[in-house]
Amino acid sequence: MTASNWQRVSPVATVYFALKGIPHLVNLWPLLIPALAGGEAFRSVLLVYAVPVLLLLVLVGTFLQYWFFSYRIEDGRLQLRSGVLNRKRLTLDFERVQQADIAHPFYFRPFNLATLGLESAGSAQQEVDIPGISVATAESLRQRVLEVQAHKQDDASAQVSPAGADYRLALSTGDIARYGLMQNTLLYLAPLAAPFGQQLGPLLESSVASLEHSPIYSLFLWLSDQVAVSVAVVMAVFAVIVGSGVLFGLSVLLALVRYWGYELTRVGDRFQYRAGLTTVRTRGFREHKLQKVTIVQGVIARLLSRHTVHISKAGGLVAQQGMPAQQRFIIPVLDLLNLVLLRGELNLSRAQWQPVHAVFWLWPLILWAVFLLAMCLVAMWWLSGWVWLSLSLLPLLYLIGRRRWHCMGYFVDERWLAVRTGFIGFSEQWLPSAKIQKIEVSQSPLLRSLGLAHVRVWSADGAVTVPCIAKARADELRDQLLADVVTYELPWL
Amino acid sequence: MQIQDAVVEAAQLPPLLSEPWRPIDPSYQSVLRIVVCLVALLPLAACVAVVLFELEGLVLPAKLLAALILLLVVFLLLVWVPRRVAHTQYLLRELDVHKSTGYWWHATVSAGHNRIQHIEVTQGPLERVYGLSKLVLYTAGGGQSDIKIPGLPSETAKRLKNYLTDRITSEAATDDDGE
Repeated sequence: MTASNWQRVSPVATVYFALKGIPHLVNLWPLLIPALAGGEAFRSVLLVYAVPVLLLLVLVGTFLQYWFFSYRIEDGRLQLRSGVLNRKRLTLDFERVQQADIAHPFYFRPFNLATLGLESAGSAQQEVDIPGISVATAESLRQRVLEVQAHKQDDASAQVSPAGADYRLALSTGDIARYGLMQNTLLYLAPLAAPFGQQLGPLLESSVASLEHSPIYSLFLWLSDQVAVSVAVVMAVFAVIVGSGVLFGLSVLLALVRYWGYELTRVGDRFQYRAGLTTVRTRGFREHKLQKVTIVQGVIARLLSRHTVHISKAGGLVAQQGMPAQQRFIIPVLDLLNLVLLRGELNLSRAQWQPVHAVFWLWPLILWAVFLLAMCLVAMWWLSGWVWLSLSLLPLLYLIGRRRWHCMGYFVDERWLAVRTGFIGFSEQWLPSAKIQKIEVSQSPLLRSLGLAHVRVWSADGAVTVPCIAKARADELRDQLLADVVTYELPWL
Repeated sequence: MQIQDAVVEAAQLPPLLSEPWRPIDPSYQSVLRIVVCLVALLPLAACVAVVLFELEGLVLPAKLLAALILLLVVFLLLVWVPRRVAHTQYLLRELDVHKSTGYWWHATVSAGHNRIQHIEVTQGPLERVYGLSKLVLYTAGGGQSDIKIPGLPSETAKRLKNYLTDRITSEAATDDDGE
């Protein structure tokens, strides 16, 4: 790897800098104060002069940023120079790169350009983007980074050539649309939309008034006649159906944009996926960096008999908290067969779930019962005897608790510690036992009197708890996991 | 139950209970006591102020609250502090480090030396008066995944830190050789 000269990126990268610079315009908000406080004349002056000046500033700024942005590859490291007034110079060793992504934003595609994103982990986390370099350069740089890592790991099997993948999984468009249904994040936004309902009310009324003269309304009338409920109910049901239809539709659309043409490959110990409609993303990780595998099946996923798998890698906790969910390593949708295959790829064991002690659900139930009883006794003085009806919640809580306990389980073998939770769907968290960071065995007075303990285990990406198991078993589990940790001598981070 | 005993190298890692756990320094009690008093001072001062200025309708609740706080402080000073300190112990072994706390709520935390990212010895002004330090071991789990051993004589804390740092760097060196 020879040293090369400082290189500029393609002029098209100005689009990238402009897009990145636009959010900074928010910093100019104090300008709004004189604009609002000043009179009409002042405002027109602002419009005539300030807006063009501002645009000019943005253009010049963007150009300067492009002009002062250059990079250089030198002896297995990348050097960047950027910044107009605050000149920055950054050096990133390829060895320290955790993640190398190539993004193909739509504005680069006609020019066959791409953005190379490099991420380093560790105490000083850095994220570097090189926008507007040719796809070939980006690919070769990424290749170089990976080669350095492969060399560092002394692992011959790590040449990444997608043609000779050891394992390949491509998701069909239908499956990605299913993910949209399963992962309906927009549903959580529904309560936020409630305040808008008040503004929508008058609008709805006027539109209903116009509806009354339309043929659609006669359809509602006909429907309400047929099922013998009021027109209002029919329309409300219709609105709910349309509303959730729109939400699900949007969610499916988002899923399609994000995971279009999803393809997962494994070459040697390196997993990689490539997906996206407007911006194609490539994400990858090496197997030894895996810190946690989460397999989830929610309610809708269960109806569709699909699963989602998340994989966290080293530095995950730090990196992923500030990261949008789309940047995690995710296999959005898997049917049972592909799940079994992927589990084989990740060497997940065949789990034989062990139950936890029934105190896990009985104790909260007892607390709830006592709480409800006390509330009823107190409320009786003010309210009628109807409050006792709230005790009918108890059988429900009983069933919920029992079901949750029934779904709860843990599993441990020489490679993995797994915890399973669930109610209607389920979630399994698999930690490689050798990469566990900290183990805690804790006992509350109640658990102590029953000879039980909780075991809580921290990985580099979050903690999992094995609740309410026998104290002796907890100690044994702790000793076994610790033995796995201290005898593991391979690189793990 | 598919647990293979071969993985647990019992000779290498004997069960924790039979190990000689080291208690922390008893003078840490004084530090805790002062901390408890300082924390209680502010709400107590607020209550006293309310009583002194005879705020309408609030005098009785303030008195009750003050009594409650005083009761709590007495309990913490006389019962909790000695027990807390007596039951905070640590254990350092060849390959791992442990800390156990709690009289009512027991908790034992453990971590392997090869998972420790960096080590810190901290000393607040109160601890300095009593010549104590706190040893903090950070792992890569973020947030709550550190192990804090308070109330160590500063000398011991530093020696522990040096010992552990040496172990970590020597391990890292062998790791690099292996790669």
